[in-house]
Amino acid sequence: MDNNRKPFDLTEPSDAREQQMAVALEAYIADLRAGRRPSIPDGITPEDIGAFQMAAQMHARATPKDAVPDAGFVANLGARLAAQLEGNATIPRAIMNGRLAAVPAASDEPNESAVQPKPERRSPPQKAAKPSRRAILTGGLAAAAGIAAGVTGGVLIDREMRPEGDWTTALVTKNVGDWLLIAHVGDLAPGTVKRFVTPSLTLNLIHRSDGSFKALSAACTHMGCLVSWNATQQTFDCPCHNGRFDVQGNALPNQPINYRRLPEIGVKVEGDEIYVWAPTAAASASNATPATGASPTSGTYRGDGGES
Amino acid sequence: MVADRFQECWVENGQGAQPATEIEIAQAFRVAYEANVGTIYRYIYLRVGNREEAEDLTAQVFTKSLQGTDWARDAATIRRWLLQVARTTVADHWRSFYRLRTTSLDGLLDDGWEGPTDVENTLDDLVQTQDEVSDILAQLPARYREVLQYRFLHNYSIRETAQQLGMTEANVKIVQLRALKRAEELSNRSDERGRAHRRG
Repeated sequence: MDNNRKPFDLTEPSDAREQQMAVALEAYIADLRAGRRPSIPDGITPEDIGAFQMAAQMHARATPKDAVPDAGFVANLGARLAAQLEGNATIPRAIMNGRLAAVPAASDEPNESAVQPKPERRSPPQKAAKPSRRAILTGGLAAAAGIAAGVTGGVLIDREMRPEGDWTTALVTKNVGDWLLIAHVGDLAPGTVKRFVTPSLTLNLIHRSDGSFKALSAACTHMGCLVSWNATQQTFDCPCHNGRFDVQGNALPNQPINYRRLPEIGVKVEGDEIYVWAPTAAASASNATPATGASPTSGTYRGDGGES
Repeated sequence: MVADRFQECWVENGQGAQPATEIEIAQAFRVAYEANVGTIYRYIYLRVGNREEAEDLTAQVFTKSLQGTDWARDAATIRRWLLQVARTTVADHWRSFYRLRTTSLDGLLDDGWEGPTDVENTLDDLVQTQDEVSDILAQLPARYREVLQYRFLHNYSIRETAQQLGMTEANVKIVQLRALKRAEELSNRSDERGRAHRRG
């Protein structure tokens, strides 16, 4: 035994390759700790990979909270799988090309409101939470299920009502959320409806003739396509299977598909500001950051063309 | 047509076999999914250590097994089946980092073939326990164990660990690598012993 050894030397010297691997392994562990998707270096061999596997296992055991799956992920995946199981649809070209946001009748309505809602004119938002592209196209988490699975345009399907507590309803009521400022009272006249997009869901805001406001999810409860307001008929119409709902969100009777009612979104009016209760979007489903603090988030959300 | 395919599936409901309708299969899947998604996700997370990969692989497990599984079977059978799918999915995931382009037996093994097995895996095989990690740590040389405990149990940084142990940061990283390698070897050896024991 060499008595002149420093407090701790390596019992065996290291070589360049091992040092490289040690640095790569530490980078991998740093990724895990930061919650990033980890990367593994090129040129790794089956002999090397054991250390990375063990690092992953040891980190996992030190982070038991992350061993519970995210609720949004679970709901989204379940809805997608169920839709796949139930249909063998092909996705219409319009949706594949990302034009769904424009597909609803809004652009064809002669009485469409040409005025975009004014941008937020009070204090600037704490965080500029932009709706993710996916949220805009698909109406939020619930709608993503339908889009991913495709829609069977024009085919009448005879099926019984979905069992209690299907995922579209659960997503709107059970998630943690916050009040989001979406519009001002002057933005839509009494007796009109406007559709708004937030990072976690798309909703139709209804300004009733008595001056009160009501908000309904704009994701059809069948497969999540966006419903559009039909002013002449005073209904919300779904382009995918011709589903129709009244202004309360109840499905019209005598339809080939039994739809659950459109979930209601909480609305509150403070002064001339209109807030809706929006779920905090799961990190994997959108780019939004959750609101913090007790005061309502002053985010800006654009109406996407509006209907009256 | 989808409906025709489902006509071939039969569901036992106590009154003799009847053809399963699309609705019954969808409902059976939903029940099985909600009963197992948490377990499968957790099984995978404990082996990849991060949410993104755990979510991807969980989705893969259910997507892969969606059409080929009899979702109406009993709960224990479904769980065992899904855990097996999860096990191969995780193995494929790790293998993808060093996939060799050969047509030899090695290539086959790398592509996911697990070789001939004569042992039916029990749930015990598939679900590791906290005790195993403690056992493995106890078998490591002291310095290896200390580094891993500082790093993973106490969440020390490389620098803090180096200070605690009187080492350079570079050496901490080397020892960390060697310790984790040795721990993985011990873990594999104990897996094999366990399987041999059950076989014998």
